[in-house]
Amino acid sequence: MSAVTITWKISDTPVTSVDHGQGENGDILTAKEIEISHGGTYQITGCKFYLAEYSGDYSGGGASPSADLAELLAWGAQVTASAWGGFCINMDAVNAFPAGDWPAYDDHLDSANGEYAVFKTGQGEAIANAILLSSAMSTAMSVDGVIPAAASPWPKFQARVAIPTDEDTAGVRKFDQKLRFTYTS
Amino acid sequence: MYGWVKWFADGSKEVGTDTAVKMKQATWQGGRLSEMVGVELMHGEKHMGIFMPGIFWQSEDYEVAFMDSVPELKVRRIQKKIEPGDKFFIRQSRNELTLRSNGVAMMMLEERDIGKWITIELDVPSGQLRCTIEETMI
Repeated sequence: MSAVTITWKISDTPVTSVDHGQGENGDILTAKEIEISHGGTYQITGCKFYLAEYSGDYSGGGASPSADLAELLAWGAQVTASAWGGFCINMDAVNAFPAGDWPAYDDHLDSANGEYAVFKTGQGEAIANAILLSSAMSTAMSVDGVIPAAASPWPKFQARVAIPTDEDTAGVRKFDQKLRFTYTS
Repeated sequence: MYGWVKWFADGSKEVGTDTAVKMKQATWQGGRLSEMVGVELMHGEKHMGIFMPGIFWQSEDYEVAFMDSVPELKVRRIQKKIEPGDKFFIRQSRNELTLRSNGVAMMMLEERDIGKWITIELDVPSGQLRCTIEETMI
């Protein structure tokens, strides 16, 4: 039971899954633009993203939910350019997601900068190090991590996967992206 | 019962069951917040409470898997702003954690804790109850 519902949309249509596409070694897959809205009477606060093992039907997956998650987080933490990659988000919707706002190999030692992030070991891999939603996701957000009730516009972010040049195992990867938040009725 | 109860100095109370909150028939923020003398929070057999006059807050943590719509309840909490002279006597068992202004087992407070928020939480998945001091209301 929840006093708040969350809706995820792509191109203004509610969605229940996202296919980030397919590619070859060294490819950066096309970014998906995703909107988040909520049905709470009041704001939701402390909004954070982190990744978790895929919780849906894994049929068609490449290895296992735990192996996929571990691999994805390891990609983002690699310290050589050819091995680096992973699941990245750009939260600068206010400025139309500038290309320069995407994380790159050069950021592998950085923490999330507030507007973009790669999920990697120690960053966005658990609640303890989850990535705070940036107020740049919407002009209606004035504080990081706080989504007002009936925000207009609702916050948006883009997400894409960078496939490492060195990756040697073809196949499907599945994972969950989770949103954690606090609500007072 | 699942939900909260606010107690007031005049002996009245407000009840916010989870069902009423979900149906938007009860609200913590939109209800009475003055002259509170206690708050209870129930989650099945789990019982939390803070009983003394003061400023209270209540919140819940939720988690929703990407592309899901119905969040899962993870944490329930009640908080009281710590004021000069506050004393918190603890009663704790497997299913109960309550703080009162008199009793035997007193929680130690320091001067630097004034203005912070004493917090009782239930970790819903594990059923564990805990008491902490937080910098802010959550």
